[in-house]
Amino acid sequence: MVTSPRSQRALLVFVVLALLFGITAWLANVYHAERRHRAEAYYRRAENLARAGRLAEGVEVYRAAIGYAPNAARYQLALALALMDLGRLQEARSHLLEMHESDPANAWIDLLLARISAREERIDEAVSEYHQAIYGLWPRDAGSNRIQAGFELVDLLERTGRTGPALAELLALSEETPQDPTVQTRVAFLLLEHGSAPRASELFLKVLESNPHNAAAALGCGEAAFAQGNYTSAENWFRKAVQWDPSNAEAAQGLAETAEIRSLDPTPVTLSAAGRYERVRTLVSRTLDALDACAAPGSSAEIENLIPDAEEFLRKNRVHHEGDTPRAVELAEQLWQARKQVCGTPPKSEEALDLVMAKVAK
Amino acid sequence: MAAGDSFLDDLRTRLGSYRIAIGDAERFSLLAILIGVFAGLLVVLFHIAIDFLGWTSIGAITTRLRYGRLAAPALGGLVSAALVLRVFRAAQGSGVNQTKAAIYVSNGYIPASTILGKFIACSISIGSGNSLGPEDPSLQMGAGVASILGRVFGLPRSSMRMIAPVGAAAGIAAAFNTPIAGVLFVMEEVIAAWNAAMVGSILLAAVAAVVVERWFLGNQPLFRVPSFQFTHPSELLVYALLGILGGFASAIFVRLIESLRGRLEKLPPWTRYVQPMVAGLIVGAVGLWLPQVMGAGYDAIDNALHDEFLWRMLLILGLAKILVTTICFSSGIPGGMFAPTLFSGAMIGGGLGGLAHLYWPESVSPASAYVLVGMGTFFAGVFRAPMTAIIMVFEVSASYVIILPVAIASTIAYFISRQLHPVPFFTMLARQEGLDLPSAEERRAVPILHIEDAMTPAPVPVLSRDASFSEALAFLDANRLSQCLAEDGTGGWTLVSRETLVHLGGLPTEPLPRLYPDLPVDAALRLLGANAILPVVSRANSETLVGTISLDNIAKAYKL
Repeated sequence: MVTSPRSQRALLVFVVLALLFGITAWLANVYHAERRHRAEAYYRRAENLARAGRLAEGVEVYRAAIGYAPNAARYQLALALALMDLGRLQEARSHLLEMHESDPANAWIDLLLARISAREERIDEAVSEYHQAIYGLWPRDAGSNRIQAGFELVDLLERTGRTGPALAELLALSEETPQDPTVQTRVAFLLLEHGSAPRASELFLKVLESNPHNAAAALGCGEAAFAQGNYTSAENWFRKAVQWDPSNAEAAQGLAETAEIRSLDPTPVTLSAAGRYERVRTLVSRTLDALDACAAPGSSAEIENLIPDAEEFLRKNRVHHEGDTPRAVELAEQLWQARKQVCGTPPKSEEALDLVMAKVAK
Repeated sequence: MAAGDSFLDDLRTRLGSYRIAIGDAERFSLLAILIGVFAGLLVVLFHIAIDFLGWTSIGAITTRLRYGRLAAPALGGLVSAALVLRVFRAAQGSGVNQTKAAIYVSNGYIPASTILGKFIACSISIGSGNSLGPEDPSLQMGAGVASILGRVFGLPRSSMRMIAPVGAAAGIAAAFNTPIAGVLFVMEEVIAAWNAAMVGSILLAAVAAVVVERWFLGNQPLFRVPSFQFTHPSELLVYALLGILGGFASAIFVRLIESLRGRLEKLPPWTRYVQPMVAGLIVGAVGLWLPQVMGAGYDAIDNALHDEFLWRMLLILGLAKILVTTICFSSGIPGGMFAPTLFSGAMIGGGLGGLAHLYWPESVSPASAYVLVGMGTFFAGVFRAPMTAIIMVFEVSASYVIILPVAIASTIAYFISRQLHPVPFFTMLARQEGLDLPSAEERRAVPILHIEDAMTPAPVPVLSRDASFSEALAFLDANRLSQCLAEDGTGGWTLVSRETLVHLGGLPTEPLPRLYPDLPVDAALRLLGANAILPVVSRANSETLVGTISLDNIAKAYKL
């Protein structure tokens, strides 16, 4: 039983303290609940504004939401995305860096930071951040998100002329692609663009193993074979691609081109001497037409002599004779070199001729 | 059974003989913790009240009335000013000087009505959007809580003066969520002296208050601070420039308040109800265009720290805040100056940093880094508390890297501000109210004399400890001395005079108190009443006499 005045005062103080604690606890609960409610209300309003395309207004409302709930990563992320869409990259980065501090392994944040760095042309930083995104922790859909990050990185490297690193990334990506034929095909086409035709071919064949009538993979096989100069194989693949997808215009074009190349190519060992000569005569004729078409009269003395020689050859040597083929090949090469010197790079319509002449020159 | 009973009896006797001895220091420390808890709870309630008032009344006015933002601060200013003019007169002003006055004039007495008045009036004034902050009122309310508890627990008068700063530190630490900065500010500004004995209690109270505040309001800071970047050492030049700019700006700010406040106080008494209303209208008008300047402004600081504003906007906000804060504070609306000072500094710093980053992006960090340093710089310039500024910025950012830039900028700002406006801010306010309160600046300006500044340095004539009666007399004659010191061989010193020689028939044996050169002269004065001369010895070896000191020495040192 407390009787002394001091003890009574002490008791009173602690009673008041307990009351104050209780009141504060209750009020704090109400306060936090109100803050959460307001934060969510602002967030929903901001989302609606963003969906309606009113991003600038939405950003202000997102900020209001964050004001009520500063630790809410969801709101911060939404604000950062809106800021990125508005092009306010420095500000978006600022919010993302803060989120990164509290959640350093979050790969989604790394990806967004990489996108900002890429847009700001801070390439080295972007590459590093893309790597962090590729190898970081994804809360959902890790596989597809990693692939997406990988593709973006490759695009960035290509765009900035870093083809070597781009190819390295593609090779790494090709190792990690899942059994998704669309993804694998995309990777393979990118490998092909970067000159890695054999590797691309492997991947296309892998796709066809699990997806036998995949027209895109067949097209890819055709293009890979074409890039490696194997026009017979290329023609077969293009034909298959057209069979499986008649609407595939690229495959149709590829088929036409390879057919043209094969009709012009005098190098196959299966050709008879007469047949080879006939093809070489055609080459002379085509190269002569090409030179005639683009070279102006009197453009060069060499051409002035070459054209009549070629015309005479064609007139006099309609049938194959011993020794005619090498002469014809020589003429065709001379004509084609002259055409390239005088008229520059051949147009698309002469691409087949150019490829055959390159093959013949070898 | 009998053996067991005797064992228990023995145990009871032994336990009963142990008493927990709680000395005064321990009681004071326990009381400090209790004060911290109470102050923390009060600050939490204050924070909630400001926000609720802002949402439910002002927010409602703003949404319902097209020009609600114009009306809210005017209404809030009028009501809060009327409260402090008619009902709670001690709750006027920011709270810092009022606390100091309570300590130095009223011996630490702060009535409960002050806490109530401050709570209600400042909740209304700040919640309605007037450009003032909650930290200073929290400081006063904390001091008030300490004063009440001190009286409840019957502290003696000498302790009552010490207890108010404990509560003040608790209040401001909780309000700003920075315990160490809170302690430093109270030491620098409220107590105006470094008192090692008080630091412990103040720190206990501050930490207790912050723990309570975080318990209820969460760990999130007042504004989110991104990690500080220090791009290149050459940036330090920009920070130095910030210090110069901050120094000038803070001096201008203080002069503006001094000038406007002085003029407004000379107006007829009835205008004291109109002034806050007009001030509120001006704040509201500016707020229609720049809503960021209303209230404490922490949201805007948060946004500035996240690069929301371009450098021009930052500078405009900084200048606008200086303007509206000057008007609000000078018109008599109750509320604090901390938050507006931090806001202004943040914006000015960010503006300069943003401009520099535009021209030198490779070597200058983005504006957000300068926002942080700017806060500390302006704070140091206005309040002349550079240590508090540095530690506060460090506590808020949790970055060691920031210490150097903020130290450079704050120190430069401090010196420039001191040159341009020698009277510190709170001293200026106190003098306008007819008070002369101590300040750390004042105390720094008054040099403390140490014993080494006043003593007669060695060598001085010292009698050998083996001297006989006649040798001692001869020594005194030869040196024409009436008295001298003799060392007793164990590091002790005695005073030998003709009178003592004759009286004792030999050398005295009673050792004199020893002094050291680094002690203040005050230590010698306390002892010279009973002793004509005192030895000043080395701390490394008490047998080594460094000098002697007497009242004559001290009089000469003080030029008396």
